[in-house]
Amino acid sequence: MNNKPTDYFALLGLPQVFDLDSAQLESNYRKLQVLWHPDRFVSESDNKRRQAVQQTSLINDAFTTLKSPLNRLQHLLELNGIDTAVLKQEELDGNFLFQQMEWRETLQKCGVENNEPGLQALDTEVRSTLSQEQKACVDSLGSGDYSKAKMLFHRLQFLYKLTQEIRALEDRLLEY
Amino acid sequence: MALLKIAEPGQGRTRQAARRKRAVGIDLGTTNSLVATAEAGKARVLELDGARLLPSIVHYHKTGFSVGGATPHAEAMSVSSVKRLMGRGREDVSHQLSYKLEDSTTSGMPRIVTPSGHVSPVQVSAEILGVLAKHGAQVLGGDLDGVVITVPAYFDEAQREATRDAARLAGLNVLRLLSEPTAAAVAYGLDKKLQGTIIIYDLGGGTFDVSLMKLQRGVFEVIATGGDTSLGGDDFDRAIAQWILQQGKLQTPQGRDWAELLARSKAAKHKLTEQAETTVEYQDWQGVLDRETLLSLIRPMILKTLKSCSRVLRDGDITSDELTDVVLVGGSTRTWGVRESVRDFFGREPLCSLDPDEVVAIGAALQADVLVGNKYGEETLLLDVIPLSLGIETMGGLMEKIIPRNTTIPVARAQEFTTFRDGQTVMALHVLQGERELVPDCRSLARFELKNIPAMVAGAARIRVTFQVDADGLLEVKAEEMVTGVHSSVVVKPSFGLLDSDIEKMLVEARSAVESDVKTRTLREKQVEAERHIEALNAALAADADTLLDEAEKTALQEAMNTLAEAAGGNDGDLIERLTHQLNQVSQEFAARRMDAGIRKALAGHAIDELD
Repeated sequence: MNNKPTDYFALLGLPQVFDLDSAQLESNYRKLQVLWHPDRFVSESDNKRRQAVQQTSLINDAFTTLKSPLNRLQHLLELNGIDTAVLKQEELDGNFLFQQMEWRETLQKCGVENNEPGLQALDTEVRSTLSQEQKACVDSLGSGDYSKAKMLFHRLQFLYKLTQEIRALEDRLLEY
Repeated sequence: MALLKIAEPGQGRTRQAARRKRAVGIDLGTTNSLVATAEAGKARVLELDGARLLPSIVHYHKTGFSVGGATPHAEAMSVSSVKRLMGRGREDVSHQLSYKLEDSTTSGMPRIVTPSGHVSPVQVSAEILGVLAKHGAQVLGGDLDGVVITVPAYFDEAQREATRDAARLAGLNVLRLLSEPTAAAVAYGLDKKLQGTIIIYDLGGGTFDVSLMKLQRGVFEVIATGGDTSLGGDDFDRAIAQWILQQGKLQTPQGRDWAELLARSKAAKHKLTEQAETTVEYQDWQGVLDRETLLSLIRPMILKTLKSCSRVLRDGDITSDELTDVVLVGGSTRTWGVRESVRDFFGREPLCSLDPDEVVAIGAALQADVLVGNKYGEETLLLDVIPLSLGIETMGGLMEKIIPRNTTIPVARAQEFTTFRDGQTVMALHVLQGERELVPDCRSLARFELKNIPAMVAGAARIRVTFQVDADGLLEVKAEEMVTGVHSSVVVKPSFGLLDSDIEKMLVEARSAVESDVKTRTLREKQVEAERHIEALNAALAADADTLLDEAEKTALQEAMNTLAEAAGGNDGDLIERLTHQLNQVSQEFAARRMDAGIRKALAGHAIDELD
């Protein structure tokens, strides 16, 4: 067995870039689904049906990975031999760590105080930072600066996690 | 016993029907079930004894049973709403039943105590499926080639597996288990040319589903789904019944009397669809139920459904302004107050131009016609999701999600675990489904053990657990030890399902009743499988052998095919199976090359298409 990751860009017939054309991604995904969906193999042999299930599982995985900017970036780094799981001390960014703490404090306070408008404001701020960082990713990858991209990946990872926590708190405040 | 489909040779068979494949769509509902067929994009619901809805009730008496609405045997006990018990344990049933349950020794599902013995909910469902399928076969003029059965989108693994078992027990070839809202969307998409981003609000007799879907040019994509598998019109009836008891200061009746009270409550509910108030009589008590009172009784349940709606909108990251349409499905959306509440919630008049009772069966029939291979017009593609996250128990009683909810199926995900004791050779795995963090709050689907792990120090073993969910939403879990290459793997069935031995036993009983034989059937299945295989490979060879294979490879494949073809003509099932497997092995590389070529072809030269 080889440990090289499957190239999801190639699988979906797309160029290996972060700044992906999402319409093209969807359309290629649909085409492959039409080709391999198990519904097309219902009266074929067990073997063929199993293949269809495996193939569409892979296509679905590729699509979900590439659709999410965070997972797309991670996959891109992975394909370029960069392990995102390990972060060295010198790769940490002091300012950003400080900002992280501040956001977390705000989040916690909103929870304690049942402050829904405050939470919305935090959400807006985090989302705008998120889109700025994504633009920065496009630039650094465009110029082949993978170590910068790796740092940005870890920022994005934190920001996405934070948006999820904001949403979870929102759920609680709105009593879902 | 009506468990097996019985061929009715020649009856009503036309020339055209003989060429077409026969398939039906079945909506197996909590209170009513329907069967429909389709041809070239036009579907119709079949009538059974003059009615389109078959009550999902089986009446059991000492010497047999009958299905549906016909007046039962004088001594009969009626089993209704069995869909609520599918894939469920006794502790899950919180409402009062008009029959007794008893624990089973072989399955997590309880048995229903009837005058003709204990029956499983799966058996009861199989009887209903049997009647519908037999009727479909009669109308279509011969054995069915396949059926599509609908299930609530929010059905979990255990409930889907139980439905699948019921179909097997009824001797049906299931082309697909289809989510009810998705089926409804297919009907609206094909019949009413509905497109865009839509919400399907499906309130049935015992289940509620809401799906957010994107419909465009033959593609039906589920974005998010939510619901409650024990909330429906039945609960409205119960609320009315409780109100009657309270008003009349009456004791809660048992058994048949309870069923009678529920029937009166249901009748009153139906009356209020047409009129503002109605008189209700029960025993010596008489009173008036008006719409306002009805709404106050059912409002908490309606609010619950609307809460699911907002969650689905949030999951799909969409607001109700962005929706193209809201569609009402399910008979209980006729209840006064439901439509009004949905309209207010989404701020638009909901759509229900197709009969809410029939639309699911119609969609199922349309899809069955396509799946069985009767091709016409534009190709449709259904992309469904799993409704609840799937995962595994980890240290500290926590649920670790492996596949999150609303993931498009089919899907395969793997995760690695390790041993925590030196020399550990067995690892217990607990498969779970649900959204909560703690194990007791999730549904336990199965427990199994991976044995014969080579003894190593703690943390050295690498156990890869793979979850595979197929297009029906059914799960298969495998565990393998990766380091030493010793691969043990297990396929689990949810613990609520029937054991294969149970099914086998029931099938044997059913077959002996119609003088059939398990052995012939399995042999025939193996022969068919072998023939299909050869046929498919022949087609593949004709298309791609010259470009993808060298002479030696071609010869090897041809030889394996010839040997299998010869065996398939004989009666040795084991030999056929072995040779089929062999051919599989030989053709694997060819299949892989074709797959790659297919992908290249599908994606090449399509840039221009994108411009339209």
